[in-house]
Amino acid sequence: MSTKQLGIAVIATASVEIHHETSKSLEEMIFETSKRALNSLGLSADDMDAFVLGGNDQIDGRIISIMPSTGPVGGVNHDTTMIASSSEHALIYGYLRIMAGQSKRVLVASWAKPSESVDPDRAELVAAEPYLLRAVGMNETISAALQASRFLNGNAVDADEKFVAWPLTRKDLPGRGDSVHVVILAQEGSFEVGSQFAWICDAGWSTSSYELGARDLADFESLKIACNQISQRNLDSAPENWNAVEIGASSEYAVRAIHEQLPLKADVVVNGTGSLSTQFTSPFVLGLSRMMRAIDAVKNASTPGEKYVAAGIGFNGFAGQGASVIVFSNIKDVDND
Amino acid sequence: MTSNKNASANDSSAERFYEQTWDLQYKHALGRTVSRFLDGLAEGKIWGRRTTDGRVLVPARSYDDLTHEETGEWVEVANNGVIEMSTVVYEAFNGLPKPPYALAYVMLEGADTALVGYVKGLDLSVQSVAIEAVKIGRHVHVCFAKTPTGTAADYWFELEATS
Repeated sequence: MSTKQLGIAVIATASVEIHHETSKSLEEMIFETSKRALNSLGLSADDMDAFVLGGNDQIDGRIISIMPSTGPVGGVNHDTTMIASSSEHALIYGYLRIMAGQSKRVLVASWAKPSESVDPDRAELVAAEPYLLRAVGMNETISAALQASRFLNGNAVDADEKFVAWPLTRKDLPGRGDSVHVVILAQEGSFEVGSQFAWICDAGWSTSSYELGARDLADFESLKIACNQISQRNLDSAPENWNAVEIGASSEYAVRAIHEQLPLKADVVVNGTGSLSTQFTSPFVLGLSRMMRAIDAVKNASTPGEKYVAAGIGFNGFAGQGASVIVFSNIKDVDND
Repeated sequence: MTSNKNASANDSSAERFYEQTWDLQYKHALGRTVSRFLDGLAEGKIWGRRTTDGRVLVPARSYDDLTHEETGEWVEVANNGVIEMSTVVYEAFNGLPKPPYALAYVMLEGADTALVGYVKGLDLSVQSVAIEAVKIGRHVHVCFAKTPTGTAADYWFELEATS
């Protein structure tokens, strides 16, 4: 999707990431984070045209969670929809709402509170199709380990390491914890230019086969298709021109492989805000949380007049079945003017 | 559903939780294709289905998600193949076997997609030995349960003697 007619920007963000939130309910966490984002702009829920929610019901134990979560985000009596596939899809959908001319300001909120599941690993098993894969047993960690085995290429791994699932150790895997992320998007003209955190330059997304045995997990097919969508529309936003990229992959093995496989600059900053294991997150929100970090990279690294481009990459499904890429910059594309 | 209020009697502001367990049951229709695949396991056979462009999908699927066409001919593939990817799981996940256990995707001869299954018959007590045993490229064969259950638990892989 190109932003040739519309300038769309991130005008506010708010996040909370904590290992185990025991003093607040999930709804309170969503309410507080949403209010923080709105308050930072001096706006209220009534100033939003639409609310897009992204939640993982199986982990949080709130089925069709748009019902209990509409209130905390401020969506009562407003246009509110929910995306269940991934947190980054919620951000993309919010972006599309503005591109389509349906909204001028959209609040996107996504969350996961795995600490509320007594057994989040077991809840993850429900994601496997019920006929064969669930009978064998598959979850995010095991699928990430299977994928990582494809990257070894004969390279030995210290067999004395303490593996969660060979070849992955705890430090190779994303940290787990409770988190809420809120992003407010706006169309140019509905905010003061210069106050934005980052412009959205472009976005691409794609999905590969669900069947792990039908894919080469070492080849990030869906990611490459998503990047090609962007490159074909908007060369300025292509991977070759990224200054930084935040990758929410299933393991550090996957992050390194993506770094090698994408046509990135030699000096691109990859996951400059920290490794996967240092983050309190959950597979559902990992992508959006990395996009928030890409937004921060643009906001913090910008030198006036000097273009800085940072991309966020998120995945959904076992071993990166689906991929989403959003490209942010401090300078709106020239073509958009 | 069961529930249990868990709170401190002395401190009304203490962190409180509401613990619930939902006992939900599902009865998934397998469809004819998966049913025949599972029936084949009881006969010591691994069945695949040929796609319109000639690939053989294993496990058998009624449609090909790449071409978005129905699959056609049933193809019995060999009971031996090569490990395409693998892991040895060392941490416990509730609902899965007690670790350590080995899991692999295996490309069986005659198939174009890899089949997932446990790799059994290994000495997993020594980590380095276990990891070496399930490396990509190892040759394995399919073993079948003597008492089939009609599920994917009816087969597993074991290393070929020459592997």
